[in-house]
Amino acid sequence: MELKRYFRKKSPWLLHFNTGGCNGCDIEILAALTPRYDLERFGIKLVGSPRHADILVVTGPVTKQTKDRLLRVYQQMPEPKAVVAVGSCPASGCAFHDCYNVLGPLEKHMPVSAHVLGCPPRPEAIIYGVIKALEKL
Amino acid sequence: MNSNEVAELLKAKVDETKIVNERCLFATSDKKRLKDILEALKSHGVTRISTITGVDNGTSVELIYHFDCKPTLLNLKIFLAKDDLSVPTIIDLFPGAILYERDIMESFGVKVEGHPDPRRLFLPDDWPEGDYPLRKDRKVPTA
Amino acid sequence: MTLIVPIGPQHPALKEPENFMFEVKGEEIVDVNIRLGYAHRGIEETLARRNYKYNIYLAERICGICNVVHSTTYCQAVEQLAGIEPPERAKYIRALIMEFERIHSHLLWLGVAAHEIGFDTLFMLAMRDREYIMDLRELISGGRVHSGTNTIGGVRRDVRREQVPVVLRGLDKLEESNKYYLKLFQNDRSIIARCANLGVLNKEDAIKYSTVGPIARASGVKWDLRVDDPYGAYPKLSFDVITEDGGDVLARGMVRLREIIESIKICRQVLKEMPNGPVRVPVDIEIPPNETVERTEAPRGELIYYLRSNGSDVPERVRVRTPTYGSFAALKSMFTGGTVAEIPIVLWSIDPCFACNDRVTLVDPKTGMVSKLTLDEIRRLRR
Repeated sequence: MELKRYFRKKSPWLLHFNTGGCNGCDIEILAALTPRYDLERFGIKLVGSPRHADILVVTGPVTKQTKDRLLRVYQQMPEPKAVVAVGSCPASGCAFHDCYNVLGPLEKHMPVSAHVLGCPPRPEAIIYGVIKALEKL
Repeated sequence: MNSNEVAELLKAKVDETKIVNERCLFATSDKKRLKDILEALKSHGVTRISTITGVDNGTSVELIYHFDCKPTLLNLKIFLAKDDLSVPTIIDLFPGAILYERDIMESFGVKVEGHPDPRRLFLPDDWPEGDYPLRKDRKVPTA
Repeated sequence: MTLIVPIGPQHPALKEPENFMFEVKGEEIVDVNIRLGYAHRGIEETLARRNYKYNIYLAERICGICNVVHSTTYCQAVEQLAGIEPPERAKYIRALIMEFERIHSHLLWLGVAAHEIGFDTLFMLAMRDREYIMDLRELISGGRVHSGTNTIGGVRRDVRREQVPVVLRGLDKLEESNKYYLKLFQNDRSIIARCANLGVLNKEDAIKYSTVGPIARASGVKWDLRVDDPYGAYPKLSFDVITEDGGDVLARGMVRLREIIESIKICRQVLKEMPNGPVRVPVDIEIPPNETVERTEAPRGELIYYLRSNGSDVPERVRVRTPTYGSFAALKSMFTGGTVAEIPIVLWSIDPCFACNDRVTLVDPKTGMVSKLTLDEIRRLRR
């Protein structure tokens, strides 16, 4: 069992979902893949399908229109899985906290393993957040 | 065309004009003369509509059409009484306005007559009918 | 018999949530339907409930990629309502940061476009070069993405003398790598095979559907607000307006790459000609009743803000029309007749920014406790 846990922590695959944010955090996630910060040296890469992913990276305040799709994507991911909430928007709503179409923090809808705060957080902080979430896997 | 030339062109068809500077002016009119104004603009080479803004000022709904008259920006205001919120479509003359008219239909409840595609644009599918978010007299539903 | 292919809201080709329904017959696209509203947060009405100063930060967060131009247009509109003029040095600094943003946005476009056509090496190269401009943005404004430098009456940070040679060196590096990308776009066989004659928008359709920005310029329409309706420091700066004739994906790419070179030229002029002086003037934010319209040239096209004041420190109405909104009407004529395989690159060639798009407005009073928390959060963000 220990061996399985040890290998799960190497090279997790990420799935990125934007629930209606301003895209600031999304381009910092994209920048984390690039040669300067280079997530790929940890074996981490972005995949297209929820069935292949280990960690779900969520950005943006959860809007009404995206909530059902977000839950469906989360349920389609196989166990064990972790959720990383990137940015201040899924933590509390950030600047959009009192807009009608925004449904509140991400924790109300699914369990979150790690929060990476910032508007937007630096790519180094995002990498640190993903590594922290790995410890919960 | 600069502001003075645009004001000269529309003199007979608008109620009042306010020239802000040589590249921006506001003009007020009503919906009956809207088509004549648009045809006059079109015949002088104006082809670009930038957007349509709606404002609820309590007693009526104002629709502001923003046209780019190379290089002047013409802001044409039409006042609509709250019990008669309808306006003819302008997409036969300015096809670029197709999405802006859908936007004011769902935010203010203005009926655009002749629009080929009066579906929802931004609001979610389960938003209640008859609830127009940008109106001042909207009753906020208690969550 | 047509089949409907849905793309989105979660899809590897899309960076933002949106839903497209493509009606296809075999491989050929017959019709396209867009369902917007996934990023709809309800911003316009929230802007009409907070005071002018707080709104700068909300306007910036409408879009992360073009945030400086949003806050600049908003501040220019409020300054016009209040009847004050920011100092000359502030206008030049604003022009500098806006051109940095144009360079970063076009390099991001290049990287993701290369990724969409399967040319991952070019994606990595473009993103590596983009890091140079992000460093310069952080040097001048303090933030990599959201700059927070604009304020009503000017800018908050000044450009120091020792920062100027660092910026000039960074611009030289960028110019050299950009020349390499231009050569690639003109000569590389795989890029030409995957980009030429796709998503064609001819000049009559571009004028008919009121398209804006690089899309219109790639179809031969010579329209750039920095030259036709200049604002800020642009009347004193000289540069060329780039147009191409093809109207296809390759032409749009060439327009954007050439605009990077023009932006580097503008940045060098700004640094040479910036006058000395203060960078902000104090403003009283209780603004008498007035209305104004401001428009600027964002990296994606024309951005319009309509503002109306009513005598208090809260605006009466703010209307934002972002450039991507203006490009949708022409989308159908770009897609029809094409094949399913070219959907990602044609879509990305209009450089869509759906976060900018879905703002409209909504209101909901939240409980007192949540408001208190978030007010603190906004204060923390403001620092």
